[in-house]
Amino acid sequence: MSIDRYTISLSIILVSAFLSAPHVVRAEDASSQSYKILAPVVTSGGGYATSSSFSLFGVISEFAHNTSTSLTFGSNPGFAAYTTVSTPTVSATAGSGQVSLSWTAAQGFTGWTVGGYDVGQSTVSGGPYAYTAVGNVTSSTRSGLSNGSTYYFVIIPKDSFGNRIATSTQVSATPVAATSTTGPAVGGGGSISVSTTLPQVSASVILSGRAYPGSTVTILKDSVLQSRVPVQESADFTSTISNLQSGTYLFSVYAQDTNGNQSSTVTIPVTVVSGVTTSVNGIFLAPTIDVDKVQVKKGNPIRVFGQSSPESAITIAVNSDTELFFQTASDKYGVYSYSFLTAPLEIGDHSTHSNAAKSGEVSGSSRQIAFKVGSEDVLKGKMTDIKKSLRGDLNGDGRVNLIDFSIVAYWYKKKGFPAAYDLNNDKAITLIDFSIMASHWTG
Amino acid sequence: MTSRSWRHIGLANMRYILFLIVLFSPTVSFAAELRFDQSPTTVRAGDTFIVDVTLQTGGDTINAVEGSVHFSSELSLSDVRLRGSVVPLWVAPPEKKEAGVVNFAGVLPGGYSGKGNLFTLVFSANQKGTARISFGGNTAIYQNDGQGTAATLALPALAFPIDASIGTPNVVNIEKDVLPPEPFTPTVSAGEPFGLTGLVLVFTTQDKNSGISRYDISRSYHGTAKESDLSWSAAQSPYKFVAGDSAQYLYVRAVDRAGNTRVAVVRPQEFSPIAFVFDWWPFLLLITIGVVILGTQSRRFLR
Repeated sequence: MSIDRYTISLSIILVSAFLSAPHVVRAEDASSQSYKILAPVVTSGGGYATSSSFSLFGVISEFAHNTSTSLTFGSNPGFAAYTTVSTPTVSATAGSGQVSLSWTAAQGFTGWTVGGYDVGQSTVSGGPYAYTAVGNVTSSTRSGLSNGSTYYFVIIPKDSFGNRIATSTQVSATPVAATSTTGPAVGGGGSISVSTTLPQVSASVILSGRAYPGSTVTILKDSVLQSRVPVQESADFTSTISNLQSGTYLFSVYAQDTNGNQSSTVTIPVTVVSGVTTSVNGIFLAPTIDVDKVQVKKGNPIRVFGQSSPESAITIAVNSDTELFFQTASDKYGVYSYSFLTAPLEIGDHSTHSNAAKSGEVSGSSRQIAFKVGSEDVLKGKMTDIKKSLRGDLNGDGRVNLIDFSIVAYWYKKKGFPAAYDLNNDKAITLIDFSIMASHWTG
Repeated sequence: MTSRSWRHIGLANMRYILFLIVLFSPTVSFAAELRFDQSPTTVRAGDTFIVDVTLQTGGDTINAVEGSVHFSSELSLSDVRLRGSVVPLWVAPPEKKEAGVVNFAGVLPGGYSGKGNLFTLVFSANQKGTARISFGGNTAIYQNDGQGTAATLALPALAFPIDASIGTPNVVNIEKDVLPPEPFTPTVSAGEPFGLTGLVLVFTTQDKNSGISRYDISRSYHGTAKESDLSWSAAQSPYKFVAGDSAQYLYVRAVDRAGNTRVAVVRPQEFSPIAFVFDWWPFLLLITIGVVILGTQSRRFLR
């Protein structure tokens, strides 16, 4: 069946309508310290056409990375808007003839969203793996496994077209024969299952991953501090949480770098089973991030810095009307630092965040750090000044934890509260105040 | 002419058009969603069944959720269960406070991204008809962005038929809760932030199965008193210290809805001679015996 002119007309109308929607990605001005691209047009060569009612752009395509380079600059098709996702953190819990897998959702960057996942399974460490598409979910139980045999799994996020974008760290588990049974169901039209009262054997969870050299990794269980792990030069960490009852726990992991800056938090739901040790591998903590100025004079440089895993590729994103991306690398101590000129940025509020990639793994996003572009430079205060203003620390003990939660919960929807507890200054204690507190949680 | 052209597009060309739309789509983004997952899907009058209230964060990282679930009169709420919930801290645990409405508000410190169960509603089907379950207009989730920004949220409702009763009604499988609440550590704090004078005791914990029913408090000069030997009274956090509390061990008992208990103890906040004797009596007894023996020996020596 051929494509007639009506079809083409309709195609143009639909595509035009779609492209004129607010979320259309357009090429923006881009710059580095050595060159500038103004008013770029993303096109396959056909240019673009506009009228008062629609805009038709060419096909956005990247036929090669790093084309048109010289010693002083590189022009990348797509303007460095790389489609990357954070690699999932995976937990594996062995059962009888099965392994229950759960993983953190892969976080897309530059507006990209995960379309689904494949589970790779092998009896050999490192594969080859047999893949199963499990849909856009964050858990899967692999059954029909042999008790006593060790199985290895990886999780692969895919895009909307089914392309595999990343591969998680491998996790392993060895199914074991059941030592208990559930009580028989009563037959007939209805049934009630009565669980056998089993001797409860404590369970354990082993969490491991990458942080930063010299940092301290904090592990929370259901928002309550469990352990603090000093991290050595390798930046790898492992922590075992024992004496757990059966159930689903929310483990939160974050790091504090050598400057006292705190990373974003990785939160992993883990369902543990009595007597079974669950491994959670591949926790790749996002870099810490800071800036040297709270306000920068338009055109002057601002320095973005922080700490990550050693010798990682660091992508810095600047969120503004003109979205900018920069790439740099951390040194052997995990430290990264990058200065850029703020000439392309409008006067006003901006923010920046970063992520890290190493050995095929990609971290989630760092915290967002705000800065202003204005008429003069204003240097940022020392860390001690910042700690004093930790939002949500209502009792002033330097932490945001259950006591602060209890204080806000006490005043929730009540009147007469101290003004300092109204974190968004809307004259009421609502769940928004809890949300602000939760984003600064230290445990 | 126009209608003719639409009819003549054909399936293959429509696929081409859809392909173009997808191809030209620069981003594929999904809003966060709260939804109901019903099990089993076929319900008869008299049956008991469950509805999971689940969260899918889409591309967002969220840290707080609040709202209400409204259900029609064809249904009766039998139970609310928190088993497998991804919400560690409830500001207002899901609870029916008025007919046909369950309110809830919870916090996920540090943020959460992905799919997870918030809570499970256990319903009984009262009569034949069409049951409806929906979220109230006050339902919202908030991003983990430090500003409490509300995330764009899809809230699909659930409607399903309730068939006439046939034979023995189905009853949902409910596993008996035999586990105590999670271990916890009460913390002594100044009462000022709570608008109270003196000291207060702050406590909270979770129960992974049936949920926390209540907290009790007791006090003793003995640091290792048995739960059954103590006299308990209901308490809420923050608990305001009363006269004598500072000199005694305070015991906090969390009780889940199945009656399982977990007890936590807090040391006296000031020196108490009585508590000191209770704590150190074996050591004090040994010292006393030693002093007596030494006294006896020294008298013999002096003779």
